[in-house]
Amino acid sequence: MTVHYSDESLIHGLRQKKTRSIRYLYKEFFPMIRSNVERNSGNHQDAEDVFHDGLIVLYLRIQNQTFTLNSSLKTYFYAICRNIWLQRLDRKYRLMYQSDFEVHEDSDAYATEDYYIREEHLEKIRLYNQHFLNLPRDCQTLLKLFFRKVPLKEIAGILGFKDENYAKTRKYMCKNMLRKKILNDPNCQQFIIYEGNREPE
Amino acid sequence: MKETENLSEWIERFQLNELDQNEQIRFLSLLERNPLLRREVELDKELNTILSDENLLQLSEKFFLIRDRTGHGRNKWIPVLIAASIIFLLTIGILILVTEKGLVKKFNDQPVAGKSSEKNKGDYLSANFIPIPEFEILIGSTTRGPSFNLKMPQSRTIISRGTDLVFEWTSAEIQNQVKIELFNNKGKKVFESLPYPGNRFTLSTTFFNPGIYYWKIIIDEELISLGCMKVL
Repeated sequence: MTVHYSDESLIHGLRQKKTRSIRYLYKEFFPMIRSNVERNSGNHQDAEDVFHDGLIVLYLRIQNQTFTLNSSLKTYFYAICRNIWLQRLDRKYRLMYQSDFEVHEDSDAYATEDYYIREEHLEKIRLYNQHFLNLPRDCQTLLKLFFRKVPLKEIAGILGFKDENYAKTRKYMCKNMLRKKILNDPNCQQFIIYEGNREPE
Repeated sequence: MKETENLSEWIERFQLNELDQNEQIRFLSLLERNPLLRREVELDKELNTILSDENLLQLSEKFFLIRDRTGHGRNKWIPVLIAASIIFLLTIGILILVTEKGLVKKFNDQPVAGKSSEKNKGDYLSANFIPIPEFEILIGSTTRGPSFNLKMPQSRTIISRGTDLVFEWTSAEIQNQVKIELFNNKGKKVFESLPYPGNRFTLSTTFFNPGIYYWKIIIDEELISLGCMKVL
């Protein structure tokens, strides 16, 4: 039996990152996103990426408790994903055919208002998270604890390392492994090569 | 290796402002000269920002899991399905070959009901019931007198396809080895047992097409008895 979620309950579930809400959203909304992406020079993989990025944008937006929905969630999500895809197409086109970035500043017409949810940043989040999630389990745990600002001594205790120094060395190794994976990933080259010293606006 | 480890450590400590003055000067000079290192330091800075957001990391993780398990329209099963289809087709092909060359050859002149149209099927079946006059006149005769007595089956037997046909006999000569041969109504031998020392033999008719068959009981290459069975 198919359970139907209202927009409100979906938003509520998504705020709490509930698996069943994400699964429902994917099951119900993905075909529409895929169809849009595939009609506009994309493929299945592009559609999945756009869906992920749209999910991040939606999640970030609904964190604001004053967030109000003026249309159905499906329409809203579709608009987010459509904008992401158009921005992405535009950026990839520029990467391919234009050497001078500054010429096409007008293409920000589709851009979202916040740097954090700009299309290219969303792609970075996805790719970096993907690489992180492909690290060995112990590295993931260690780095998660480190980013939670858990003291190294405590991390050593949690992970059963002999001392704080070993935890520190292990952390360097894990971070190094992650950086190397990203640097060697052709999908990540676009950020690493072209962005240079650009700072978030 | 050592240098790489040191660089990793320095990158981390640089981000955390943990380098002392001398180390910082050396590291900045290295940065200036080494574009790869600059790239790595920039990436590390971004990683620290992005991965610090545990909520987004959890969201991504859950999405990737759902995507991989659900695989909306994803064609990840296509190679498996193609392989399975090929194996299936090969199996069917082999079975057909075996049937054509093996079973049909074994029962060579037997009409294969499955291959015929319904109209032809009737013709074939009726053709299977035409008796052989040369065999008919020998039915029921036993050539070895009282030393061999066939108890079962009767010289004319009607049997349903799939039922076992049981041969049972007594013989005064213990060393006798009995061989049973079976012919279809075209005189073609369709079965031959090995010489058998016992006094009972069971023949399954599961794979026999309906029709008339003649059995011969042979001892020392000598025909002892001949009978007929109709498989319905």
